[in-house]
Amino acid sequence: MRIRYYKIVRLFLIVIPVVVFFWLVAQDVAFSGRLFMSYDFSHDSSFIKRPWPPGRFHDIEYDKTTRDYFQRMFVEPATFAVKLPRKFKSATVEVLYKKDASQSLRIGIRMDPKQWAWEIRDLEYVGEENGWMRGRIRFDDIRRAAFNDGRLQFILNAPGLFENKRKVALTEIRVVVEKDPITLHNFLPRLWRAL
Amino acid sequence: MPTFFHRIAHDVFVIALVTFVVYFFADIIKPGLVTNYINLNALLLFVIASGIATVLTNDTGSVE
Repeated sequence: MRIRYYKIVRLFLIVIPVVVFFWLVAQDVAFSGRLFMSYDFSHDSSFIKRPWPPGRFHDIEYDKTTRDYFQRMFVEPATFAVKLPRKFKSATVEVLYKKDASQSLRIGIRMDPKQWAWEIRDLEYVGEENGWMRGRIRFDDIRRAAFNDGRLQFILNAPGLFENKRKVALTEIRVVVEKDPITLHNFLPRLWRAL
Repeated sequence: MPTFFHRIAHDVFVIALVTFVVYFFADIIKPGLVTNYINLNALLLFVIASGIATVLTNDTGSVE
């Protein structure tokens, strides 16, 4: 009886790391053509680096009632980098934030790694989520954007923030990147091109 | 005759060690493939812990 248990346990022990490895490869290749990443200020993310430079932000704060971690920006602009395993076609950035109604908040993507060149657009307000404002912006073609060291760079732009002594609080940054999904029909041609 | 728990501990150790080595080199070949999702230091600690467990559950070398 114990031999049977032993064989079952052994099988699981072998299968689990193999399955995990294939899952890691699938995440890297993004077969579905979509990769979701988020940074909620509670702990560092492997994909979204915390906003920089730190001197433009207060320390990360924690709201005990809502259990939200957040950080307030008082000088702009600030940047954050998104590490991607490979190139994607488009990116949608969502930010959960709080700010004065008259304060504008814009997000841009770096177009040239050697110059201060950004494609900046207003954040589109799409609703509320757990007491935070949710803003979204979509960049349809990020293949033209600077892809340096496997990273895309984004900028948070809030004109007049420091001059008017305002603050923008951020609690979560979400990024969804998309490309054509890998199917049985396009798998081999794409593999051939990649090689 | 190795005990049931020693056999399991031994297998856990060997499989964890092989997994660590494979993941480690996979991450060197394709940076971030593993470490974006898994903490290899934690996996190494698990390898060491399972190695210690293998030694502790081994009673074949004990003096009667």
